[in-house]
Amino acid sequence: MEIKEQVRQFIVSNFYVADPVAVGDETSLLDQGIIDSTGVLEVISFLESTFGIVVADEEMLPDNLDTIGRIAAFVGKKRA
Amino acid sequence: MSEDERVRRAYAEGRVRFLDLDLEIAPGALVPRRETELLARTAIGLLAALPGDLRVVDMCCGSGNLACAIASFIPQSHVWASDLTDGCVAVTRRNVARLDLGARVTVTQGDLFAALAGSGLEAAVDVVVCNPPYISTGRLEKERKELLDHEPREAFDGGPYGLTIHQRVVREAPPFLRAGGSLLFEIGLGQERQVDVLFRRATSYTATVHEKDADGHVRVVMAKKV
Repeated sequence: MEIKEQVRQFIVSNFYVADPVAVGDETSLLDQGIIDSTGVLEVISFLESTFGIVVADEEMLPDNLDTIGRIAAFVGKKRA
Repeated sequence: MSEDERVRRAYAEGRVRFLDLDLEIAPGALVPRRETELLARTAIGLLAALPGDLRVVDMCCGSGNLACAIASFIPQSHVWASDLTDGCVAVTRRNVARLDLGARVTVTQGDLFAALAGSGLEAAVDVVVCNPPYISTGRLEKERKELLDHEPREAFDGGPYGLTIHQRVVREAPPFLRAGGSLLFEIGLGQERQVDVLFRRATSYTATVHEKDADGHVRVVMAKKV
């Protein structure tokens, strides 16, 4: 399964998502209230355990984590 | 009285009560909230059980409410109170002078623990207390924007996920804490699992302990340096 789909499944299974179909690759997870200060570290733990990467504190940024597309790109870059 | 009314009244009167202390307050510094008394009481209880002279850091000190409360209730303590902004440092200095605590409260200014570089406190601090900004930037611009009507953004804005300052303090505190020294945070509602994870990822702390308010919400998270 590609990274985007693994991330999407994790998010819709572990966070409140009113309409999973409406969460596109570029939907802001912050703006939609899906991931905020009560969830971001769960996402990081998932990425680290699933994809074998280590996310540094300074990488915990919306630029890397705010959409499924950005998360997939970030994971891809870390694994390269 | 609503929180908004309490804030407006505190600024109008220039005074606020925190525990049993009468503190000065001024625009540029957060009006101490009632929930922060839980962090103060928890720190005071912890320090009261420790022997000898005690070194305490109040990081992100705001108006100096935690520093002044700890110095007032724990006579064998010396507290270093630090904040980034001119407004907070000025109000803290006035409160320290007002309560005649100048011999036991040192006020510093800087970017978190950079303010304590060269202070000789490395590996010597018994307790760090920190009530950091912990509201996410997005919430502060939307559902909590009323907070900025009277008080400074720096007092609330915890970065994109509301955890930026917690994260930095967890990382920067260990060089200053003695082995067995404690770091105590106030947290926002529902943030305890995230702050637990921050401590766990740092690997230099014991398991966390939570303190709850009267409504059963965790508002203080603490851990000791291993």
